[in-house]
Amino acid sequence: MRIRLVPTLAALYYAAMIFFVTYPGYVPFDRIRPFVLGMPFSMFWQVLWICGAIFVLAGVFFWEQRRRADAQGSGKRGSSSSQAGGE
Amino acid sequence: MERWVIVTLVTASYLALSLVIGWVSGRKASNTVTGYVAGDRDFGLLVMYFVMGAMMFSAFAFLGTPGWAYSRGGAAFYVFSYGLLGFAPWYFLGPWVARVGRRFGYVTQAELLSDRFKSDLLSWLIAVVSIVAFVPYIALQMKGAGIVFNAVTDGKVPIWIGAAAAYAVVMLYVLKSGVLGVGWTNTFQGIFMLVIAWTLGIWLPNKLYGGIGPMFERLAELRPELLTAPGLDSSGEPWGWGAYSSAIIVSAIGVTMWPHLFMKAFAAKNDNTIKLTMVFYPTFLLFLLPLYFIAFAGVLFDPKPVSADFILPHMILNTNVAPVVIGLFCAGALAASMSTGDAMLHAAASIYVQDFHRKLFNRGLSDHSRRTLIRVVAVIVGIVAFFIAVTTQMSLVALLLAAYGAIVQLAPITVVAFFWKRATAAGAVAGLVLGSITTLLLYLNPELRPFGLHEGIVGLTVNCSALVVVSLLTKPAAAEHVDAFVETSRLAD
Repeated sequence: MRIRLVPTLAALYYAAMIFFVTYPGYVPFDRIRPFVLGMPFSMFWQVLWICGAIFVLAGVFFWEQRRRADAQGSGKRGSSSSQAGGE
Repeated sequence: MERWVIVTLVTASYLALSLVIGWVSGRKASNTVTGYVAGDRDFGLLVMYFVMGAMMFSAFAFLGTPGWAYSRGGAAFYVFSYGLLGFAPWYFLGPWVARVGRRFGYVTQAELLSDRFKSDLLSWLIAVVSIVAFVPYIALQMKGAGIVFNAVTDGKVPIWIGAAAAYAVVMLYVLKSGVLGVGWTNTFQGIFMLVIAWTLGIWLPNKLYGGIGPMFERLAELRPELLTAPGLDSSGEPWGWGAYSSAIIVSAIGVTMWPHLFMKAFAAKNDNTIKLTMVFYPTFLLFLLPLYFIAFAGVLFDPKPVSADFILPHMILNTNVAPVVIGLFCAGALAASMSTGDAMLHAAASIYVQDFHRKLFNRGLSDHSRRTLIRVVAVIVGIVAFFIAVTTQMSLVALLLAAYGAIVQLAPITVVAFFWKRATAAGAVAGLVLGSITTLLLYLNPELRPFGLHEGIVGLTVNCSALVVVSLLTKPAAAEHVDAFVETSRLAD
């Protein structure tokens, strides 16, 4: 099976998230200061991962759309299209 | 006019509007089970987004999680994490589920799994587990609605009348319009509670402390222990990292497996609808922020609420807010309760008929009779849940946790259904039963848990082992059927 770059990166994002919002990855970021947007850093850290997830999933979505358009547009160009989405 | 009268009038207007929207929205659905249960597989992005979002934002999210933030501080941050992790797999799982649903005509999770494994036993088991989990959950939603109504009207409207009024409306639009009623009212209710929560969440800290930043500055000085994870446990002692972390993992798996999520995936118009819903879904989680702000605003506020769960209505009632705004807040809380309760009521009735009644008593039931039966069962489930809501006390949380534990155990079966063709019916049943029993035993006897691990994680380990071993020992299922199932799931539209 060919490894598809963008979905793999998305999966890695979530794997990293599991590490960074639980023990022990959260510990260094689980602090009150600095305040960001009025929130303690520990709370902002959670918001950051949520916002990141929106961009990651949007990236996967657009990559898929483009890949499908490529596949329809120019017949079989599977290998080049998998690079097209790699940001 | 007295305050409670204005509050009641505003709330009643909201209920009337919900009813109109729910009633009118069902007109377009076809007179079939697919029309009633899966909206003719024609939900667009807007409705899908609010169905998924509002469904997860229950009365518990509106009252319970701010209660956690208020009394346990950073412990409440775990909700952000499990909400995000629990929904992410649906970006991929959703389209697979929807495709096999279109091809083989499934409208429930149990239909999908029992047909993949060709096992009626599996269908009954999943139906029983789902319904046992749903009924107390609906009861909690009803009770939440009644409690809020009671609190904001200064006790003038008894809990049972508030719950009955809100759920009479739900019952009417679920009976009339099926999932379309659920979809369009959730859209209305979702927008409504988002606006209310953000407005109050920013306004209240401003009024009391001069802003969100200054509020947290005060808290950092006086109650710093509340501002970091894992926060405190229910008795006010520091909570452990192990419990915090494993609660995230188990809750995330549980959320992914909720049967009504599958049912809504079957209702999606196409793959892109589900995928885009999942792209935008995390924005719904940010909706917890204003609720947490209100809860944190309550920490240094006097007087104190009677219980932590009351922190939101308590803050609204004690800060000189205009009665109309209190009414809108009450309506927002009812919206949170109803938008979860309606989906569960509809799901419980559909699952009973599709996966239990039809397979056990009467296989040849016509489409028309099934639709009628789903409505009858919805009424019965509603009445039973209402009875539980107004009579029982805490014991139903235990029942809920036990059933939720069993729902988590559906995860391995669902994964192998799409990935491991060699998995057999016997393996699936063995995994589900042994996993659920293990979870229940460890829940009841916490001292038996190895290394203090969450009972759900131990249950999943037993479940996976049984699933693999028993599958390998039994005869493989007919290859044609399994191939068709797995290949269909991977085909794009």
